[in-house]
Amino acid sequence: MSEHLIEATVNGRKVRKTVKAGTRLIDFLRDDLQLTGTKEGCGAGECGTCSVFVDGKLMKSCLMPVSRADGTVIETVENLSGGSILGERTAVQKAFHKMGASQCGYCIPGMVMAATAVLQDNPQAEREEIKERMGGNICRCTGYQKIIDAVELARDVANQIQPAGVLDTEEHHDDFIGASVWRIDAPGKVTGQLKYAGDMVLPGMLEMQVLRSPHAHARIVSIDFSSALEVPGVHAVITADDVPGTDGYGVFVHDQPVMARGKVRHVGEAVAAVAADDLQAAKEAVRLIRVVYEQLPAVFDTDTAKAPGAPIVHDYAPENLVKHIPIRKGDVDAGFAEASFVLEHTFQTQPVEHAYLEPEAGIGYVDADGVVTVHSPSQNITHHRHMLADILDLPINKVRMIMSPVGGGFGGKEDMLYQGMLAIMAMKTGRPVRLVFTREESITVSAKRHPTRIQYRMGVAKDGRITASQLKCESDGGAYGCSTEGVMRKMAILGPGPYDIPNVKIDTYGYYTNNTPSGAFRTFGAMQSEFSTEVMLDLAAEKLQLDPFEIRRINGMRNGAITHTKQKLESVSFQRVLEAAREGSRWESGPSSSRGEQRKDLSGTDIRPPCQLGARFMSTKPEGEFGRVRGRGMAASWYGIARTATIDRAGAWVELDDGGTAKVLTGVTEIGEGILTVLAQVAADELGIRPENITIGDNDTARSPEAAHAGATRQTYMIANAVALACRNVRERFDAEIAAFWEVEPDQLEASNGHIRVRETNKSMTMAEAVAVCKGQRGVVPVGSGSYTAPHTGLDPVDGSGKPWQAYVYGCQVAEVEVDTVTGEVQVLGVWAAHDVGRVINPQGVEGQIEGGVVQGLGQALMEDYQQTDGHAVSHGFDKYILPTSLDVPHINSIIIEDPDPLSPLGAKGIGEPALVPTVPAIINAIYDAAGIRLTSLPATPVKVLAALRDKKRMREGSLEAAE
Amino acid sequence: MLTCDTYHIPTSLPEALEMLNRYANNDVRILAGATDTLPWARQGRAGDVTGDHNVENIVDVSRVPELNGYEVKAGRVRMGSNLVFQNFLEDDTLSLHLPNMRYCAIWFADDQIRRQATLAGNLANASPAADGTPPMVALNGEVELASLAGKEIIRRQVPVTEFITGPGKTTLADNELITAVNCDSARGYGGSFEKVGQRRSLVISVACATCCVKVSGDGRRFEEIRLALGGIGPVPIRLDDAENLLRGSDVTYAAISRAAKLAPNRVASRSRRDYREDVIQGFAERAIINALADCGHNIKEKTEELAHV
Ligand SMILES: Cc1cc2nc3c(=O)[nH]c(=O)nc-3n(C[C@H](O)[C@H](O)[C@H](O)COP(=O)(O)OP(=O)(O)OC[C@H]3O[C@@H](n4cnc5c(N)ncnc54)[C@H](O)[C@@H]3O)c2cc1C
Ligand code: FES
Ligand code: FES
Repeated sequence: MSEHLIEATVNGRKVRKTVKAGTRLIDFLRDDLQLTGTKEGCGAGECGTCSVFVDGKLMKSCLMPVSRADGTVIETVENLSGGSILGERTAVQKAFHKMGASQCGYCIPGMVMAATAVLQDNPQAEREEIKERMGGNICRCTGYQKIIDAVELARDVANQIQPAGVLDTEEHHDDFIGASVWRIDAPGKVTGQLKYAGDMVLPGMLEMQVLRSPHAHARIVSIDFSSALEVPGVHAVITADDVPGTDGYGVFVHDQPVMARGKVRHVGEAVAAVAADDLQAAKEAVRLIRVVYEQLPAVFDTDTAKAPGAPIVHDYAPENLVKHIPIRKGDVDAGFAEASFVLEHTFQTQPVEHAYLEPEAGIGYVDADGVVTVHSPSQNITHHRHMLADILDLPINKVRMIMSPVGGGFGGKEDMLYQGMLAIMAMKTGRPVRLVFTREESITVSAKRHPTRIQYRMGVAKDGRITASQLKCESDGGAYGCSTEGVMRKMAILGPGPYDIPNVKIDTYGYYTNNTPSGAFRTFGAMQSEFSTEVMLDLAAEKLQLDPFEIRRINGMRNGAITHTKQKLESVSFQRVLEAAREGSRWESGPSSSRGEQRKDLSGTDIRPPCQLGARFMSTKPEGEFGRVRGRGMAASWYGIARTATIDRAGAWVELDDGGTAKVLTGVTEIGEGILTVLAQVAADELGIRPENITIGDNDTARSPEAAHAGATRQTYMIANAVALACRNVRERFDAEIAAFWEVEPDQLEASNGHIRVRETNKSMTMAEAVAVCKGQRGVVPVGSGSYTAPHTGLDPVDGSGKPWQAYVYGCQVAEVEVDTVTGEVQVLGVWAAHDVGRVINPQGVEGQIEGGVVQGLGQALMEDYQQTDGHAVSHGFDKYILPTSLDVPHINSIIIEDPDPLSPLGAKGIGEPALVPTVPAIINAIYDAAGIRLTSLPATPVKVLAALRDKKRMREGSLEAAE
Repeated sequence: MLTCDTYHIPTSLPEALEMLNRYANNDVRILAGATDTLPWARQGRAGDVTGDHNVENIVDVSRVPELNGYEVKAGRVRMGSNLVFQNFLEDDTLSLHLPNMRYCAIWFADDQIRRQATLAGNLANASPAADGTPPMVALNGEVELASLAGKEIIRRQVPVTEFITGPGKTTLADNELITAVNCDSARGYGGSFEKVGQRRSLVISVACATCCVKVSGDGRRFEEIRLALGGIGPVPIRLDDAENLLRGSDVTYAAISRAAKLAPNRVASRSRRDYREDVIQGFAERAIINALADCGHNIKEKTEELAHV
């Protein structure tokens, strides 16, 4: 490979380097210059995480051959703030911070660059033009709304429409709970300084590459890696034979080997791994490994999987059944008999990719104490440590999991896909080892949302009451168990929706196949079953000519309701949530049918205009826009908070520290949702200091107490309560010492905003002084701990009864869509999302979760589809796996409802997952309202929409003919 | 990832052509914007992390000055092969002469890719989903090809319709370079470009249509019209039958609709055929109506009768 001498100006400095011909500008920036603010989300021009300025023009550095950079002037995100987190940030960066525009942060350096480019190209750009110019940058977390808000703010400051000061001032008072305290981790994200696992380098580090199966189901006859070991620079090759302990991991059943053992069960399964001095040697060695496979009959759908004589994926499950969850309440046959009509429909949902912008990456090493350590964006360091200890056959304290910043998870980083290989390779080579997935690798091997077929029967009485609901849900779990068991459970428990139904029969089945595994994905199965319920209710309402809100009001749970698992609920906010969505969306009441354009509630000021490309040169709508129809739909939802049907717990340690600051230690794993900021707010409030004076030590199994996983919408509920309890524990101790010092009673003390005082006296100290007194004069270090428990119970294996959660939340969304009857394209223009969150801790954070959830729901409703043929991924890149861009998203109106949880100290519940549950059915119902077509298989692509319109037209013509 | 043994950056046309001659029998790839080639080199890696694609020689033509810029002469626009899609949005002269191209460009990828992606590369790549091909077919586009015989540069002009012979297939010879794309100037025309895919940005066409239209002085008749479709078959299609029907006819919705009815007959794709047939008729109508609007002729009253759909 030839080499080139590159001379360029990078961030104002002259650079002269020899590079390998054919490498890309992104490699040069990241590997040669350590400018890791430029990220590689896809490597194929499809995401914009790599955007940099080349000669003043924004470009995607993954598509630029480095040889072309010779003689150019390059500017990366690092330069905006002078190359340091301490430098003065630009207006764009500050605006991103203020508006809460960053979540996981992985897209943010690219977004900041794109925003900078927009305002450089047109300092007056209006909102639609901004969105259009930023259309090459994908964000999977935020739903874009706050990003575009931030760009508008930066524009207005630059144009002096807003004073520059707004970018530096937080607008809340000293009451931190319920205030939009700015995210404490945003500065590192907007400046590109935060290091994700793939950005980290350790001395002596080796690069690892993985050989993956080309077959969906095959026996491994032999693996010969002798020539791979001959490649200069190669240190070791590992296979299943190198696993020292009990092989197998999985969120529920440990059926997945670290590397294929004896046979492969899906395309892309890891078979062997190589570590070498550099990536090139590792890749070359992987290519030289010879594996002899004997292909086995394979199974790619659930119907085949459950049929007698089907190929068996796992010997322990001869019927290919991962899990069946039954729930029984009342007598459905009696219920159907009592009904005035029974609706029967079948629904099909698609496999969905998490598409976090940070592909999987990690570093493994063995430290000087012999502790095997893995740094990776793991959503569950606690469980990963347990499993890894067994796999490595090491005492649990000799295994350490550290969560590196997570560039998006959504459930997809709960599986321990590669951490085992890193640990084993680090042990075998004695060197730090790094693995970074490509986008294609990430998509092909990581778990998907379970594609599910739902056969539904619903009996409805004349007055609109549901008399019986029967759901049979069959999900493709793919090759490994992952989270299938839990997903089946949640799909079942929540399936019939937040409705009071006397007779219920639910069965969910997860099957093994040789497809890519399915696993945890935001809503954990609830989205699939609740989607079908909400479409069924629309159909029922239409039959009865009821307003869709009305049928939900009639059936909706109220205080004291008995759930499908026969749990009695105390406080049920559902009716309030429904009403808030109805009012907030200015919903025009009327019978559920295809009311479409006759509605008077369309086209309000709280939606966006339909996307019309060319905002920069066209101001008016072209005339040929015929054939577009609008309509609205709604859907409701419920969700359980924290781990399902099992005791949940989290712990925290807190120290009031010198200078009136505090350290909060907990194994919390921030995955972009903003939990660290929430914890800082809670700790500040409880301790009486300010959020910026809190240091959070998180995410390390060797340094912080267990807080378990980022999932199940449990972090605020479980961990914020644990932190609150720990803070109260500290304060008790601390207040006792300070009270003794002042010779008053502890209950006379109060602390806030960095001061502690004796009520109704003028005795007061700063917290800094008080800590000094506590330590220096009383000899006490003010430390404390807290543990929070949510005592959920398991489900009865026969009738499913049980108390799976103590806290439930409710949601309701309205969507307004425009359907293009010429192309079949659907644009979602507005969404009104009302959600009960218990007690809101950070409104901006809650909105961010709602906006991001709605846009993920939109993706699932309209475009996302992970397709495989015979187990081979078709959509294994972002060119074929289509994600919503800034031009595809609606204006989202968040409506936050507070119904505090009576059972926990803070009263907060959660919002992370629930936000996306009602979006899909709301959109599907809106399409019906607009165009009179009912789609029951997702996603509603232009092709499906137009086919449905064609069928509708044929039917109409047919019935006209028949009438004649 | 795309790797190579040698990466060449010629700085003149003869040098570039000479390299093509020299390596014609070896593995050689011409690289312009690289926006097709780099993603292509990643493909086939499903289940295989070692999907790097190595070629012996890359000839990067981005620094060949003879391929830069454009020129308007005798009713034709000659665009150097290094012209990128963003130029159609940012250059007023190009917008004036190629009124459909800014609509095409705004739908094309995103602002960043457009700064790299060349029209010539789009034609050479010959994807059935390419957005650059239908407008060039509509405007009687030709590619100008050059090769070196001894010291002499040989040039030939090939109509785009003959140049692209199938998906990914062209008549480009191993030692040839596209030096320019020539097409009619449509100054005074209204232009349009219709596209549908799965989303609104970074979107690949499932189908697209483009139109350039010129209306008689009194605003009553179609004086000249160009109409082409993309995404509906292996090669882009010029709707000459529809053009003939409309040329000289009155500007009425009825005429437009009659002409557009000819479009679905031309769908040749095997996949999503029903869909493409359904879409393309409405697209042809929209393309004409929008092109008329672009030159100030609203046939709004005619579109209202359509609101019944
Ligand atoms: C994210 C993304 C989005 C995209 N969106 C679109 C889209 O919306 N519409 C669309 O049509 N395309 C799209 N593309 C595809 C691509 O950008 C276009 O086809 C582009 O025009 C290719 O031009 P290039 O200069 O980048 O080509 P290159 O990759 O440099 O070359 C493409 C091919 O042309 C050959 N070639 C290039 N120049 C010459 C020359 N002068 N003489 C002879 N052969 C030559 C090359 O050898 C190669 O075979 C997209 C690509 C990406 C990555
Ligand atoms: S990494 Fe360059 S666009 Fe995704
Ligand atoms: S914040 Fe945009 S991808 Fe996570």
